[in-house]
Amino acid sequence: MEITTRSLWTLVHGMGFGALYLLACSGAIVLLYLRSATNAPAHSTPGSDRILGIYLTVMAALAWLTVLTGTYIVYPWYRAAPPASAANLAAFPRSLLLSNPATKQWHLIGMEWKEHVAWLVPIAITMAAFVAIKYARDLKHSGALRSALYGFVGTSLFAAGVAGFLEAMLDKNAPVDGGQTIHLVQGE
Amino acid sequence: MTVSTQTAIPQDHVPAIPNGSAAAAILSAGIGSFALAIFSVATDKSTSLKSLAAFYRPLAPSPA
Repeated sequence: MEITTRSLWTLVHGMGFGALYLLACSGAIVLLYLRSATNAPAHSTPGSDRILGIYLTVMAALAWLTVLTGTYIVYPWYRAAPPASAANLAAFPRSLLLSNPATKQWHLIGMEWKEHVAWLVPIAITMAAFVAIKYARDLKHSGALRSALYGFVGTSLFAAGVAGFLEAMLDKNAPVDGGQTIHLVQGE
Repeated sequence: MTVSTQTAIPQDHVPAIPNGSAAAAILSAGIGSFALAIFSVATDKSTSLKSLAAFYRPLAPSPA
């Protein structure tokens, strides 16, 4: 059983940080709703405020780790230009996708989304974490603040969900692979 | 026998705190997102901006 370094980083980026972020999003929405809904039971305590703050801060850290590893570690491997004489494009995922009309749109739509729109995720969730920490108990009393917060968290969840789906499709059609091989389990 | 004199503060009477810093955070996130969108479209359409944005070669905007 073995894995290449590029595959490992793709897993860390997508299945590690990215998937954890998506899992955490549903929890954040429930926590924020329970904290801020006008008819929610009054169970806000300094302890639960602290947990909400830690939860959203970890989510913001996950979002930044996802986009930074994706942009600065995985993406350069994805977009590497093949030499003119290259007959096999398997090591050049971007060129491989563009070489076939059936897969071209995965790059043109999929990677464009991941390159640009996915950056809204950490921006939105960092702001949401700051506001939720600072206004934890006061959210209940400000409808406008609550709506803005829900809007940004929802946008972040949507952008991350689409990016996650496109990541899976891109990796299915043109996986980022190569580099050193890491042997996880030796065969008999 | 002990008698508790603790009284609960009604939730409706929690004083509101100024929301200036929340507004600033929301506005800055919105401006940042909007600037990102404008810059992405501009670098895609303008070759001079495209080369200007190529400050780290491995991530330079894709060739046409």
